[in-house]
Amino acid sequence: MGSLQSELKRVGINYVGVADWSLVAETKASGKTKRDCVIGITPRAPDVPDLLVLDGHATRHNQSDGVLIHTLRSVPEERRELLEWAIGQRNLSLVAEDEIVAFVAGLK
Amino acid sequence: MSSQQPSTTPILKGSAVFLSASFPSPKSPTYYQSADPDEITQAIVALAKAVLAVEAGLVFGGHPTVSPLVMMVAEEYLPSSLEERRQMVREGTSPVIIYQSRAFRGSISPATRRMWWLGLGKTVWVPPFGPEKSLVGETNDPGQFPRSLRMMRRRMLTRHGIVAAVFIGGMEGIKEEASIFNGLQPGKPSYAVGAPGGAARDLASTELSRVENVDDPNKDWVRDLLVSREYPALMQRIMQDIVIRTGESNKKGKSTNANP
Repeated sequence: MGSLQSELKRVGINYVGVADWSLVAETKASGKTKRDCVIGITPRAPDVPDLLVLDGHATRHNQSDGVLIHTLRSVPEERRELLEWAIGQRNLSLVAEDEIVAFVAGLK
Repeated sequence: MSSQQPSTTPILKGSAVFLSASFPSPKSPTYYQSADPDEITQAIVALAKAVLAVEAGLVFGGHPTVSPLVMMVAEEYLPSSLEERRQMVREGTSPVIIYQSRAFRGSISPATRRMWWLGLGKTVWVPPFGPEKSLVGETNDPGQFPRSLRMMRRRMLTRHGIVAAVFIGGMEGIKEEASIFNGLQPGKPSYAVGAPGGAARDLASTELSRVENVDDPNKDWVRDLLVSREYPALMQRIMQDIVIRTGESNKKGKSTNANP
């Protein structure tokens, strides 16, 4: 969470914390208004309950996009299929923690 | 697709980052007192992840306290198949490269042996310095093998493909390695991470004093290297900086400024 917050601050993206290791990043850039992004963090492999919590926050926050940052370098195929099934048509995605800097740069 | 796999950044594939790190011992009271072992651990793990994530190599001396940390990360980033990993070691394509002096062949740590067994890294053996050969097997005291250690450091730091060095924690040896690196690899970037303490903090502090005096535009970045404890982001930024500097260096066909 510290790395995420420091990167958001460094690139000039405002954020506010929400419960359960999550925050909302205000992704407005150069006059265009992008959708805000609810970012959740799990200190372990991503699981369906993590997505459920993230989806709840994203839905409550004006149907924002949701991103779950997790610790797995590569999500095993079986788990990935399960997570994709759970995500369905929702605007949720996964990002590995070793890509935090690149991910935050993409929000700008 | 809503779920995304991590994208790879293979720009540094074939290149390697040299890691100089250790946990200060009470034998060096100043560094011992300034160092936080937990912070050193976090920084080493974050660096290993950042390096292996961009498919670069990680070169380091087989220190018994550092090897287990790198091994833990390598297990996650290297192929899960034992045979595939061993094949990478045989073919010299393993991204984890450990340098060992044969002067200490009798005292290889269990962690290093485990790395061999699990195919998690390739060991490069460096012969002991001539006059010190007679002591091999008699003692494992590094103080008895100063020339052998220096020889190993020089071999390690002149390895083909090394594009940068990162310093974490450590004692006098870190300063020596920094000096050798800057001498043998002029113009290549080096990064001393200050927050975990040890000798690396001195290096980071010296660098900040230098850039503050000349009002360097990289001041904020150098300050982050000295004080930031957000190691995952810090190490990923180091890798980005290496990519930029390596690209600039290749364009110019010559070395770039050594200071981030």
